[in-house]
Amino acid sequence: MILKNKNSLSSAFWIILSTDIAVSIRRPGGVFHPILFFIITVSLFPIAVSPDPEFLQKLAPGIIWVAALLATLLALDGIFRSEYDGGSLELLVLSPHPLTVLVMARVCAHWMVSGLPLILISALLGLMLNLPACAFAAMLVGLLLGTPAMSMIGAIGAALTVGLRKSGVLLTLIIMPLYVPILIFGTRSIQSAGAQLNWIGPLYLLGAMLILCLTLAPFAIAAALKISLN
Amino acid sequence: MLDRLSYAAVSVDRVGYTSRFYRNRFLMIQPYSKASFNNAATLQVSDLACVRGHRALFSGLNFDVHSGSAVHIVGENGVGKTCLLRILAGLGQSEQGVVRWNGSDITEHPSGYYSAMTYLGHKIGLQEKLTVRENLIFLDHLGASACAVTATESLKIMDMDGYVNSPVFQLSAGQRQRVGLVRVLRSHAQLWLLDEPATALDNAGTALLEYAMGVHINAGGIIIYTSHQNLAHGDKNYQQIDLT
Repeated sequence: MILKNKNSLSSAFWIILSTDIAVSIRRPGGVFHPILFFIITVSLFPIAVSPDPEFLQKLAPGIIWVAALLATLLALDGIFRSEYDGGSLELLVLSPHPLTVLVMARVCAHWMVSGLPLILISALLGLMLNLPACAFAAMLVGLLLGTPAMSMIGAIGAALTVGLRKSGVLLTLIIMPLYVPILIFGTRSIQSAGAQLNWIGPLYLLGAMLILCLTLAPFAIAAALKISLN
Repeated sequence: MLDRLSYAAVSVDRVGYTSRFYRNRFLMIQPYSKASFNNAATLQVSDLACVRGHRALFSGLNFDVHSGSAVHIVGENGVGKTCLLRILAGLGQSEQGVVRWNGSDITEHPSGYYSAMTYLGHKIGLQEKLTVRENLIFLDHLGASACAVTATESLKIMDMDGYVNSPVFQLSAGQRQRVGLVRVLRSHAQLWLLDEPATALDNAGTALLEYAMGVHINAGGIIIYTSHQNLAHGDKNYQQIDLT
């Protein structure tokens, strides 16, 4: 008889995380397009609007957050698409492990290849937009709290629309309103930091939203996937 | 043992495999199926009905399957064979009726059922960018228990061991189907739900599939499958269900 080793939930979590990252790296288009989009959008503003440092400094928080939001939106459709087409999503649902945890591994991997590079690049782009030194912390922490929340909310929409062939517009319509609070508090924090005001407050709210997403989104994503596969 | 063995002993079968060849495959396949099957396992389908859009596909479907038997679902295209299998797998929703595994409703106690069941659908579930080995290991970890045999060793059953490091996008449809069947074996599941398992397989592949199915049923497994061709997996406890 062949020996069987009990699979723990954590081993399932890690294999999904590592496999998804490996797959993303082998399909560089999917990973780098949103990052490239982010860089291009932000760098077009000084050319199109005005290269004046004072002016750019005022616009910087908005530009960075809007570009980050659109880049996240661009990457969303890829969270479940290829797994759905190939059928491994069905096998994920049929796993004896709780689906809520397994989908979080997938969302986590997606954030690591799409959200994390975005945060690193934003530091460079902040310099380009003449963001004051005191606002950098607010921007980085804000993005660190905001992008995972956006990935999780986006995954709900992606799971709902994965069964549709052309889901892009619908996905944007479902998700965009839910992103607005994150956008407001994210930009507010950078603006307050730039004006030497208290910038921690908006970040607390972003943190609260992240925790809300962490606790509720897995159930919503799992339920949406089951509906899409029916 | 299987009738395949006895008839292959006197002559070479239609694809040129000898009894010795099957003896070797038997030794390879048998360990996967013997993994502690529950001899009293039963899948019970009562009063099942399925509606797709505005069309009622089937209704009032009742059947029981016990350990060590196979159910062949037949019917014309579009009669609801795939729908039935998806409902049995817990992927689709039935309009009415219950599916019970060992007496408990599969929608209420999915975790225990999912450790005992494996499903092979039209989409095989392999990721294009991963190699065959990576795919098998990934799918292994999704199950309740990991297979201790190496991927290469299990791929030998379907003559796919030469492709263990090939990315899946380089494989043909038939080769993918073979890898899918190896995945089914490696899952150690007692209940196999196979949707058109012989799709895209050549004669040799079909013979191997039939043989693996026979070994699984003999060891106390359960197979529910749809197929437009008659698969010769042995006549032991075989029932055919016509959905039309």
